[in-house]
Amino acid sequence: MPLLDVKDLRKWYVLRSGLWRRKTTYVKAVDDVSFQVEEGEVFGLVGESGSGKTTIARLILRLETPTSGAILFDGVDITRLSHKNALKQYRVKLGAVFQDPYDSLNPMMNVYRILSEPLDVGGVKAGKAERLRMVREALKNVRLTPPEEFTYKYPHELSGGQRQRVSLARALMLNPKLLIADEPFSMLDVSLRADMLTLMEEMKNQRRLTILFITHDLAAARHLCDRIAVIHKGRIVEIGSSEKIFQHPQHPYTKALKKAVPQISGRL
Amino acid sequence: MAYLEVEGLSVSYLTPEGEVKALEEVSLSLDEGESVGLVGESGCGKSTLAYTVMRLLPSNGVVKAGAVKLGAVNILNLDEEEFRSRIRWKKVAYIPQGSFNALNPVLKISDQLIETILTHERVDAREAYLKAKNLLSLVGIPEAMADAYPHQLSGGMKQRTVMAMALTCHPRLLIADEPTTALDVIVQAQVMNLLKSMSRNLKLSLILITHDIALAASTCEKIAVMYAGNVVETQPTEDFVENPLHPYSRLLMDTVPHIHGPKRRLTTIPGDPPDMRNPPPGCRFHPRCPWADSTCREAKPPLKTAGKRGLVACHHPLLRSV
Repeated sequence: MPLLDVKDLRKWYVLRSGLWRRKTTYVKAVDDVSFQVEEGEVFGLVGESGSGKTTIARLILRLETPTSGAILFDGVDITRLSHKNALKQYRVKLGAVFQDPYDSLNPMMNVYRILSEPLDVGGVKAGKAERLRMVREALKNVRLTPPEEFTYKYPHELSGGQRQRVSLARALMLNPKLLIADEPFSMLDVSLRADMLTLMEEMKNQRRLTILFITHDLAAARHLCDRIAVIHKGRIVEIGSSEKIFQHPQHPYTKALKKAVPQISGRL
Repeated sequence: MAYLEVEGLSVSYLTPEGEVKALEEVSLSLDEGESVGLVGESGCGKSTLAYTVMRLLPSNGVVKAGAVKLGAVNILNLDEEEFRSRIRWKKVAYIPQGSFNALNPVLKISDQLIETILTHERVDAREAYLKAKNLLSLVGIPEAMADAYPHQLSGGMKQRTVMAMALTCHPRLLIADEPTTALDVIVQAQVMNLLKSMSRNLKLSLILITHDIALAASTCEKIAVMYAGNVVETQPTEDFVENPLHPYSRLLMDTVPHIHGPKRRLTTIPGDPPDMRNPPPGCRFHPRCPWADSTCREAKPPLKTAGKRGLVACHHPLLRSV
């Protein structure tokens, strides 16, 4: 059984126009999307801005409710979870890293508080000393060393790359079953991007972490993902093992996407 | 003859914590119609170089030494009014990083262009409107979109609007600072193709500031790599791709994941960029350089010719034996 099984997922946004707003049109942000993510797999959702990939992530996180379709997580359809506690229990199993490391950390909290907040949410009972140990362990895991130096820093004292590592540490605090990483590198410098990529690779290999990796960066997707779905205008146009998609792209959109990636050898 | 010549330029920011040496004896030359990719990590001084050429340094920025020559004129010696009326926008135009998010949200894009045109040229409003439309179509924005508001445009279209603005006064040199950082690959390719074709058709010299070495290599004729306030290498792109001379350039190239050929291990550059208030002695890169020896720790390498047509500031350039 796959860890995540997305079936015929749809998210249509309603637009009303015309006299008395009686005309109804839809923006089909996500349209009949199906894919499965196995445990321990890194699955890439690749597409340009506006293709619907972030909406899919938000649907899986249940930050949005789908128009129709099902999302099975560990065999349970999470689109039907309505009870607050059930939803909370589900969300605790997920970790998320978002695009902008400058927006996604609370500037009023220091690293210790940022990283111990998930412990409160997840109902982890631990004393102050125990928490401190867990926070330091988490910092070590994302290679923010020595952890003592970072524990009481505030986000503004950290560089973009360091912030994104704190985001990753926060996402991993409760040992999630699935990590959703939405464009985690797009705001980072090339050399920092390589740092984060190798770090996530390590997580994948050592912890057998299941990752849903959302990106427009094909080269990064190829590097990290086992399988990839290419998404265009809300629909999956091609899905398969990442090597197959890169060696022999079938869909014209995948080919265009591949061609658009700047390469060191050869001009655009 | 070189159109732009930066000679031994040193710029510092005076901060309460001390002097930050943002640029140290930077030299760079650019021929008419030539494009150069200025590449380096955040904080290496790329944008400071652009500010200096545009004379837009913040009030705590001081030019310590050196010259920026446009033809025979050292533009650092011109008074502000002369620079404003003769050089800025007319000879050299600048697209700051993230400027496409700085369009005025309550004005139509045509009106924002007209504002610029009326400030700089003696034309009436109707002519200015026609000219604005022309400029927009030059960057591939259809006439029907000229009266749109910024929120109606996609990121790529906003970036192109800002490019049209930069072209208003027919500059000869365009400096684009990270023009595609927030855009996705497809739009990035479109914007880059536009920059290239503009540079070719209008004989425009181009300085592309970016941290993405692959982007620079696929767009520009020449690559200049900066590290910690120094230009450490310049080479024509073909030569650079074949044989990067500076260890930093080499490591930077290995951090880029590829989509062609076999999958390779990514390398990362160990350590962090130096604190520019107190940069390391000798070669600025030596603490992070796997090839460093005692010479590198003591003496700062000068920029000297190496390779076929390159310049490199390194005691042990990585010359590939042919």
